[in-house]
Formats: sequence, structure tokens, C-alpha cells
Amino acid sequence: MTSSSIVVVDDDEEMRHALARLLTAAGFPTASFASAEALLEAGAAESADCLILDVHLPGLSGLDLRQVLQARGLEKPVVFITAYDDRESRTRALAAGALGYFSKPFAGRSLLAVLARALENAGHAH
Amino acid sequence: MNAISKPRLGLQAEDLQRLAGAARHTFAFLAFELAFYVGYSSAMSFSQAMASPFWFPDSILLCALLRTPPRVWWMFVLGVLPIRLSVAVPADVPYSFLLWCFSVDSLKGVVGALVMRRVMKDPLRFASVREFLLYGLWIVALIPAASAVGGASARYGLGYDYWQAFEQWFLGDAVAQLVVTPFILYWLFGVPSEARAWHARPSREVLCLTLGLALASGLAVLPRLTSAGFAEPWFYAPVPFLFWAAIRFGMRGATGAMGILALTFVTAALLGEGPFAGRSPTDTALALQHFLMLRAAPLYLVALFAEQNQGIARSLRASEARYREVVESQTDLVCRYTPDTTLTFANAACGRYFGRRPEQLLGSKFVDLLPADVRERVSPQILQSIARRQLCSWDQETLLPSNAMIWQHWVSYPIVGVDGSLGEFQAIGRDITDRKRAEEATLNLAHVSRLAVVGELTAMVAHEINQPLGAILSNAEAAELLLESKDPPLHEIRNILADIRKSDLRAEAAIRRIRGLLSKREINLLPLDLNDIVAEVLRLVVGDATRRRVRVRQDLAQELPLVLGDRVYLQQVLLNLLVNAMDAMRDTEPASRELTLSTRADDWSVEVAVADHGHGIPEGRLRSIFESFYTTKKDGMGLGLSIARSIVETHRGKIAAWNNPNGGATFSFRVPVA
Repeated sequence: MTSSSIVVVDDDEEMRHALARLLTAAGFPTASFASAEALLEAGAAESADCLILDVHLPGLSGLDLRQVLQARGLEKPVVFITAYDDRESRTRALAAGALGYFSKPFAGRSLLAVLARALENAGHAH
Repeated sequence: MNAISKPRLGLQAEDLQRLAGAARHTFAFLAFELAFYVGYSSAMSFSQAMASPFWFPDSILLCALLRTPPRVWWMFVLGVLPIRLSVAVPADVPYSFLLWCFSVDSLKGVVGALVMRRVMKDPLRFASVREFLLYGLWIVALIPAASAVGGASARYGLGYDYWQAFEQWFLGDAVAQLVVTPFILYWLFGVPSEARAWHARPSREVLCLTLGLALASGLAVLPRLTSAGFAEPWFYAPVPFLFWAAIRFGMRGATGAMGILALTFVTAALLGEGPFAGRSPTDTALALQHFLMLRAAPLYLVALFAEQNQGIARSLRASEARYREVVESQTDLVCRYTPDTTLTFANAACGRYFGRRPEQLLGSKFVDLLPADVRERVSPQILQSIARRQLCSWDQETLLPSNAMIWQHWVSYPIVGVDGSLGEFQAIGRDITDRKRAEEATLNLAHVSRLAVVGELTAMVAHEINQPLGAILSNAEAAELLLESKDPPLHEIRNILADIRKSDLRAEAAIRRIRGLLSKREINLLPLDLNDIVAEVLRLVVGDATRRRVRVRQDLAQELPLVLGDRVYLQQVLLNLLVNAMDAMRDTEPASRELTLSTRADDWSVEVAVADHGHGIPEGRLRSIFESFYTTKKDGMGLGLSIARSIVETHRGKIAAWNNPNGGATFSFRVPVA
């Protein structure tokens, strides 16, 4: 379980670093990217066990990225985070089967709890 | 029937008018003929040896020609010929001489009338001393002299002495033109309005003057009293009355007085009484001519000087009354003071404002009259401007006795006297309460409009604040986790704390920016670069734009001249335009959601334009789009654009909107360069 790796995509540098730190400190190997395009280019999604995606990204949004990955057959557990808590994107995110939808600032412990549960389930599935 | 009778009635009225005109002209001509007949026969009643002391016919003809248009002059010129040929003349006068006189006199009349029309503003009036001197030169001196050459030659041909004939002929003409012509002009022809005023109310003064003059003239020629002839003191009795008439009543008085005097003396001369007793006819004529000319010439000069002075005094009085009225009727407060601010003048509005009669204010010090708080603030400024002889101005809020608060704008400046000296200062206070209230209303509206965009701002605030807050929280929790480990990595924890501080500062800066945008304050114009404004507003909007999937393209001029502007208010305007542009693209295909933000400058202004690919502005609404409460948005308050306009106009700028040829709209504002 501790080997489960996580990918963070957020265009805000401070947020990206802080989140990667938190996940690393919690024992998750974490890779982070500033945009959906950067992630796709690096091809890092395939090896990730979970994706933490900012909803509002320049270029492809977090929601778009999820669709792109699904279209490629990559059904990864996804947690959305956002600085704008608007009802529309929350509904869309949860309707699309996201694990969670966190609006910044959020309690890291809640995120970690969601991740732990999701990855445990995923582990059983494997 | 009616259709026919109506025009006939019109024609009748016209005919009547024409008949009345013809009758008037005929009457005037007959009056002229009669006058000429009387004048000519009286002039010809003198013997040829003596010649007439007044050649009345010249005056009558000249006056008739001055009164009528040149196209009818021939009637007057030829109209006298029958009279000249029919009046009985002394037996020694041949017809050839009469015809010669007729030719010379006609020429004199025509030339004289032409000259007067040329040199005088109104040939029936002496408008100035200069005109009278020109009249004297031409009509009294040159033309009679020229005709006397002809007349004397003719008489010389009849066997008379040339020089004596010249003198008689010349003086006869000259006296007539000097004494009789002005009398006719001023008393028989159109009376100017002021003279009519005197005429209409024969005041006690006019009565005294007329009686006194008649009496004095009578005394001057009474046989018993004037045994000493022209040396007799009584002879000068009329003089004071003549000057009285001239000084008080101008040319009309002077010509009237000369008329009375001339009538008395001519009567005396014809009777051979008074100073003329025992003189030869020639002698009598000469004495009379000299006497009248020497009385008339200086008298008319005095009269014209008096008229000029009266005219100047009148126009001065009128001008002063006009200016006094202008100043007194002002609602502006106008006062003057000496360098120590002692008041020397205050208008009625000033009196009303300070609650005293204007004359009671004089002697008080201007600065002492100001309300205490205003005095404390502005009196150093006023005194300094007085010392430096500069203009100074200030706004003050004052409580009126009626408990109303009013705003006044005061300007005080040095006054340059007529002699160029700088003695006094003038202060003008204007009630600007309405303007101040309007300004406040605009500020309030601007505030409301800012609150109206708070909804939009919340999204921006969220992005600006939530990002650093999120980072801080995650960092803090990461640090907690690290501290729980056996060997806490202090170096990493130190990095985390540094990052937390950085995020905190970022959040604080964002709050400050937004608070600045929301605060209500006066407009404060400073030189600034509009590209900076664009950059600052973009920083606010970029998160919102990302969220709305709107791409922002920038097309900024490299180096912009500075403009005079209020940073926050211009940010507000641009923010409004950007938010509107993004709202307009809500239903646009995400791929086309692009707005272009451009700046450019010309010689006098800098323009900022926001072009979108939205729904555009409905045709016919382009004109009203900047009016209050007009909105294209379902959920907008519509105040944004009208406030944007009033802010831009406060910057003496212009705001404009138009639809782009390839879809969407462009909003732009331009403000003048500093």
C-alpha cells in the first residue's frame, strides 16, 4: 500500500509543492505537474494509482483530463481540487465518479483519509 | 364676390398709403417753395448796394438737399427758378445777374450737401466738435468764399467795387450757414430723442432761460440804454444766457438762443435802432454779420463740448449702472479688499450670505468673516497669496443660518487698477453645493457599482486567497506529519515554514488589492502608465478567465505616454469592461472564447480597448449602452458601464463601444496624456 504512487496536477506552484510535500510525508510517492498537457506528455498517468487534479487548469481542465484518460482506457481513481467552489463543476465531478471534490483550502487529513480508503479498495481489487 | 373684393380692399389700402406718401412729399416740397419764397424775397428786399446780411436761400436749399435723397435734388434746384424770376427785385438788377446767382447758388447747395453727407455721420447733426469744424471749414468758409469770387465778379461787371462785393457776398452766405442752417437743422428737422425729452416738458429752467434771453436781447438793443453802441455794457447782457443755453441744452439750446438773439438784432438793425442807430446800411449789415458770427461760432463749440461731455457722462453712468447691475444681481459672492483683507466692496449676495447689509460689511476684514474652521485652514493661504500677488482658491463647507450646509468655491486674485497699480484684491465665492452633491452621488454610485461587481470579485477573491490558503494548510499539515516522524527533517520543515510565509504574504497582497478596489474615496489624478493598470487588472482577472475558459490576448503598445489618472478608478473601469467581455462570451464556443486587450497612443490620448467574441451589442442599443441601468446581461445591474463612463469623463476622457465586423464587441476608453 505504501508503494501506491500519486500524481498531482495543479497550475499553482505553491499549492502543487505543498500538496506533494504533504503526500510524500504521508508516505505516498508523488509526482506533480503544472498542467494536463505536461502530465500527458510525461506519460505518468499510467503508472499512477491515484490522480489529484485541479479543476480549473489552463488548457485542458481537470475534468477534460479525466475524460481523455478514460478515453484511453485509464480508469484511475481521481480526486478533484479547486479554488472556485462552484456548484456546476462539483456536480460534474461527482457525477463522473470522482472519489472526492475538495475546495481549497481543505484539511489535508480528509484528503489523506479519502486516498487511504480508495487505495485500500483498489488494492483489494488487485 | 368675396374673392374679388378682398384683393381690391388690399389695393385700396396700398393706394391710400401711396397717396399719403405723395401728399407728404408734395406738402414738403410746397413748404420748401414757400420757405424759399419768404427767404428769397426778404433777402432781396435789401438794396443791391447793401446786399443781404443773411443769404437765407442758401440755408433753405442746403437743408432741403440734406433732408432728401440725391435723386430728387433736381426738383429742389429747379423749383426755385420760378421764384427767383418772379420775385420783384430792385430795378438795377438785370436778369442775367439773377440767372448767374441761380447757377452759383445751386452749385453751392449741391456741393455743400455732398460734402456734408461725406464728412458727417448724420448730415443733419453735428456728432462731434470735429464735424462742426469740418462744417465750418467747408460750408461756412470755403464754399461761400468760392461763390463770393463768382458773385463779386458778376457784381464787378455791374460796376461795383470787387472787394466790397466779395466781403458782402461771402459774409452773407457765411452768416446764413453758420446761424440759420444749424437753427433749421436743430429746430425744424427731426428732433433727437433727448432734445424731445426737454421739449416735451418745458421745465422751469427752459422758461427762465427763454424769458431771460429775450429780455437781455431786448435790453441790448433798446435805444435808450445803448447810446454807447457796441461799447455799451447792456450789449453783453445776453452772453450769460447764451452760454447757459449751450452748456445745459447743447446744440439745440445754442441754436435756439442764437435764433432769439438774431431775431432781436436783425429787427433792431432793420429799424436802425440800438447799436445800429445812425449807421449806413452797409455798415449795419457788416456789424450785424460780425456780431452774429462771433457769437455763434464759440457758442456752438461750447455746446458741442457740452454735448460730448454729457454723452460721455451718460455712457459712463449707463456703463456703471450696467456693471453694477451685473455684479449686484450675481448669485456669486463678489467682494474686494485691501491687502490686509479690509473690505472695500461687497455685492448684495455677499451681504445676504454674511447676514448684513453690504455697506455694513465694509471695513470688516474678509478673513474674519470666514467661519472659524475655514479661517484656520485658508487664511494663511490667502495672506500668502496676497503677499505674492497670486491667485488662490479653496473649497469650503459652510453652515448657513438656516442650518443648511452648503459648499462654496472661492477664488481670490489681485486686481490691476486703471493706472496699472496693484492695490486691491477681489474674491468671488460660488455656491457649488449642487456640484459637490453630484460628485458625491457619482462616488456613491461608483461604490454601488463596485459592490455590484462584488459577485464577480468573489470568484477572483476565491482564487487569489484560496490558493495561498490551501498551500498554507497543506504545508502546515505536511510539517505536522514530518514532526511526528522519529527523525524530523528540520531542513525540510524550515523550507515549509518559509513557503508558508510566502503564501501568507501573497494572500495579504491579494486582500489589499481587492480592498483598494472596493474602497470609496475621492478621485485623485496622478501621472500613470495605462500598461501598468492593464497588468494589475489582468493579475486579478486571470484566474477568473482561466475558470471561464477565456483566453486573454494582449496587444500592448511598447511605450505609452503617461496619463493623468486615478489608479484605482481606472482599474475599476477596465475590470468592468473585462468582466462584461467575459460575461458576453458565456454562450460562446469555448474554443472561440478569446478577448484581446490592447493599448495604443496617439498625440493627445491613450486608448485601452477590450475586444471579445461574445454576443455583441444589439443594433440601436449602441447609443444607450452607457446610460444608467441599461444592461445586456440578465443578471447584471447595468450600473457598471454608466459608472465607467462617468469615471472616464471625470478623467476628461471618452468611452466607446462598437460591434466587431467578425463578431463580438469592443469597448474602449481613452484618456488624455498628462
